[in-house]
Amino acid sequence: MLEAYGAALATLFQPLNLLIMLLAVFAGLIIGVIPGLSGLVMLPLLLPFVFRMPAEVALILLIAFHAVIFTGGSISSILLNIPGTGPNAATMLDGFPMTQKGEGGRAIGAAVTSSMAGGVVPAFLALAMVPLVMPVILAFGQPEMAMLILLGISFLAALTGGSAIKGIIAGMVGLLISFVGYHSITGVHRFSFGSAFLYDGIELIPLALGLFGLSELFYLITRGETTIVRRAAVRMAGVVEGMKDVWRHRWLWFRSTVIGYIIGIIPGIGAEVATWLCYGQAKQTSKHPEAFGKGAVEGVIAPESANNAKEAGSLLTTMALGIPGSAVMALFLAAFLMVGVTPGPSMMVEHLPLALTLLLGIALANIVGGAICLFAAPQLARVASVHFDFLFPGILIVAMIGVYVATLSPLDFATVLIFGIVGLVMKIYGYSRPALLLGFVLGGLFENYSLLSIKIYGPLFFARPIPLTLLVIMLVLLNQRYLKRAFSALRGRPARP
Amino acid sequence: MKLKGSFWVAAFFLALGIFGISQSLTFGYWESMVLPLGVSIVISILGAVEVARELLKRREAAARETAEKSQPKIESRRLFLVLGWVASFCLAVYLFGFYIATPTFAFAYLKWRKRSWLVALIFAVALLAFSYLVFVIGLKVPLYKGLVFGAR
Repeated sequence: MLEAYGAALATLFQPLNLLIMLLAVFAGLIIGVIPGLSGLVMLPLLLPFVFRMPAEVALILLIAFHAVIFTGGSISSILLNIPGTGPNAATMLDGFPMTQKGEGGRAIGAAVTSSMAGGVVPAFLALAMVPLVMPVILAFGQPEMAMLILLGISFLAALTGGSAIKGIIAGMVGLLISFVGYHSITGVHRFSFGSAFLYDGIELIPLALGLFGLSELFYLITRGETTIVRRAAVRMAGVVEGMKDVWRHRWLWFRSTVIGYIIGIIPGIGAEVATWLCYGQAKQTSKHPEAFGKGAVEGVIAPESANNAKEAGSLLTTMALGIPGSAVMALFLAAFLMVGVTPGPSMMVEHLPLALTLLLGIALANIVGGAICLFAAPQLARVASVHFDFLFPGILIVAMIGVYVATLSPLDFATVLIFGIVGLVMKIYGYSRPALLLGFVLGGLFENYSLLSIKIYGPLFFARPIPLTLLVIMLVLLNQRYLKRAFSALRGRPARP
Repeated sequence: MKLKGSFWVAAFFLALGIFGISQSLTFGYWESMVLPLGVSIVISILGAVEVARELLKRREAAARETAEKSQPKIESRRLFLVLGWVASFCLAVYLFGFYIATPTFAFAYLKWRKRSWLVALIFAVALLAFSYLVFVIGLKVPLYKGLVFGAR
């Protein structure tokens, strides 16, 4: 185990990896600052660029990019009163009033320091947890893996869509799409309709780009949330004071960081929940709750600690169990597979140094990103004034070139367009896009594990302790609404004879 | 009785499930059939449940109002315009390749958004230069030249 930690450090500190990380952190900060653009829009756009890179370089780039997006988002929340990303909305409540009071620099100092420290500490917590989860992970065979994949889809289905039924439909449609093309075991062409284009199945990059990148663009434009024209010209002052504020409120920072990390480990609970929960507990435990909403620095520290703290926990669950806790982690899971690494128990055995490198990468990216923000926040805030008129053609063109680079098939432009429309419809009507992506990404593995399990253990392969436990968790999760009602009814019965 | 979009989406998934079942039965071997069939059956059943829920919802005015409120509003006209732009760009790339489609699209879009000639022109040229530098020179990937110019 110690050798793995050493190898991880050595990989991370290779000059090329450090350079890639620096570029990714810079890009992540800029994207975070621009309201409307989030990891969900931009990560699919990066996939075509990274799929030919060595696994560790590609994944360091992606993780560093994503790790600092919320840090960048805090700048536009504080200086412009526009949340750079969804989870930065809580920061806005007290961050912008601080700017109005002339304390923008202090708010930035507090936000960036708490984000940075909130991203670093959980990464080390996750590193410390790896040896503890290893024995559990090693007990997993084919039936367990098949059920784990179904559980992952169920988690995303139940927690990221309009309803569990719609979520399961989305996950199953993802599985169905993954079956398109040549079946390697029997040689049958499935759902190909005689088209040579479909013989190899649907490609991941056009599907992910359409489902998330393009559909988010469509959504932003059609809702008219596209004109960000305000100029941010705020003098940078009081940053050191903000950093001292984090030290003064270190217990609040610590509580928020731990809450964010725990929420990150649990799949399906978004960063928004973590930030609002931490904002709420900061207000409840404050000696001056009346100051919240009017420029209290605690209202900046708590949510900013939580949103970055969540990522290390989410990444650990994604890598160790193959269960992505959010849409962004589902994209990460796709990226892992694309570069030849299968997340889940096998990753923690076969690619342990890589897993540790990525957790360390989160820590380092947060330090680098924090340092850049502390010195260049006003300059970064100016990026938010870029008009969507320029972003839309820019993103669309880069996306389409990226698709061509990845697949070398111009017909995949149609795939992107079709899944862009599908993604938009799913978003509007509450069908979980992450569940569809996860079903698609893990469909091949699910089929292999299931067929092997049937051949080895028979059709009742799930009638073993771990798969049965996973099945029960899955059923409870999908029926939680009805179970809650049943428990309430049972509890209420004595009161109403 | 006018049916809402959510009904038609559920009906689409129901139809997809039924189609999946009919196709899966033609795959011959049990190994290639069992999972697509199982998944299609689940989609069909849950699609039918959603369709039934949508139909029942129509009888409950309050429930309908809540559902409508929970669905984000989008502007259909703007959506179709954007779809038109994206589809035109895809078609232009397919026919004429990136070297022509990229600057033409960027220029035309900015002019449509009422930007000045100069801004639109500079942006179009900058985008083309960026794409060329990053992909052709940086990543050494030749850009697609389009059907008209002999690409296949």
